[in-house]
Amino acid sequence: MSRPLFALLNLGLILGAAFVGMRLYWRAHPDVSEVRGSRLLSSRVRAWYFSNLDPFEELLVRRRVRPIALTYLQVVGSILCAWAYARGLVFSAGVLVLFSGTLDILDGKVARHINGDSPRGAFLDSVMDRYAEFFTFVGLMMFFGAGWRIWMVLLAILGGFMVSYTRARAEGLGVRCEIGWLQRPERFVLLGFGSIFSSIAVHLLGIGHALLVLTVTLLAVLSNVTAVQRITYVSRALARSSHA
Amino acid sequence: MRELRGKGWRVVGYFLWLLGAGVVLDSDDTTAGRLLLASGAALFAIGVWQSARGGAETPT
Repeated sequence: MSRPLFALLNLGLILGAAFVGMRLYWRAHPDVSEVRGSRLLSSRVRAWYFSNLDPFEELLVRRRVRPIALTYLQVVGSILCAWAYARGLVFSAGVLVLFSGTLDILDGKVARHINGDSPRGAFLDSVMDRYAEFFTFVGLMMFFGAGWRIWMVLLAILGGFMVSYTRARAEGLGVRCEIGWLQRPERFVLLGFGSIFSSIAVHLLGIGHALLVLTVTLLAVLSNVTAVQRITYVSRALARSSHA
Repeated sequence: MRELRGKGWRVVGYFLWLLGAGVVLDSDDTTAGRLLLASGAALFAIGVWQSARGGAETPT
């Protein structure tokens, strides 16, 4: 089978599996009221994705795997992902981005299942998330090599870190801050599928990795917009509380 | 590994397939890619077969 045809087959498989999987899941009218959605990833889509992780959650809980082990595995996954980007394996890197992001979800689910979120686990999880994100972007920088695209990657790193920092600082000051367009799940979904579809477009349309550049540019802009949204929100909340 | 029965193996198979597809598409290492594709397809088929047979599957 030629590569363009194989790329087309995989495009069909990815879109088809998502379409069929979601339809089958929603047909059972599941209760998704407890799943928090966002503008880019609705609670219904999140609930469907989480439902695919249920067997693994069950397995990990029964085998008494500690959530922190999954957190560390996520960092290993992101190092592999960086290696894949650096080698030009953009499709595989995208899959590994989704894998690492999924481990991030899974460690939280396992932690809640066994004994609730411990402060130590929550702290290590958020710190390791930043390392994982950094390693992934380092791989992207190595892939792009030089030029203005490096600046987009740097802006995306800054945006990702600021989204996390604003929330941590706000919560330190007693303000709950889970708002904004591009939180971590949205970022890894965007980068993961952006990479996969970019690689498919290379083989189908021969347009180079224009889609990946577009994805990173979107990440750079939207994650910084999210940081600004949070800064504005927290600043207003603190002003209100100091006047009260 | 009873917990992975059905849906779990389908998800693992799908993931391995995608990983293999990436290796086949973006590199010349077609042996490794084909191995991943074959094992992914096999695990996915096992998951579908288990679901079709019915019985205990992790509820969602």
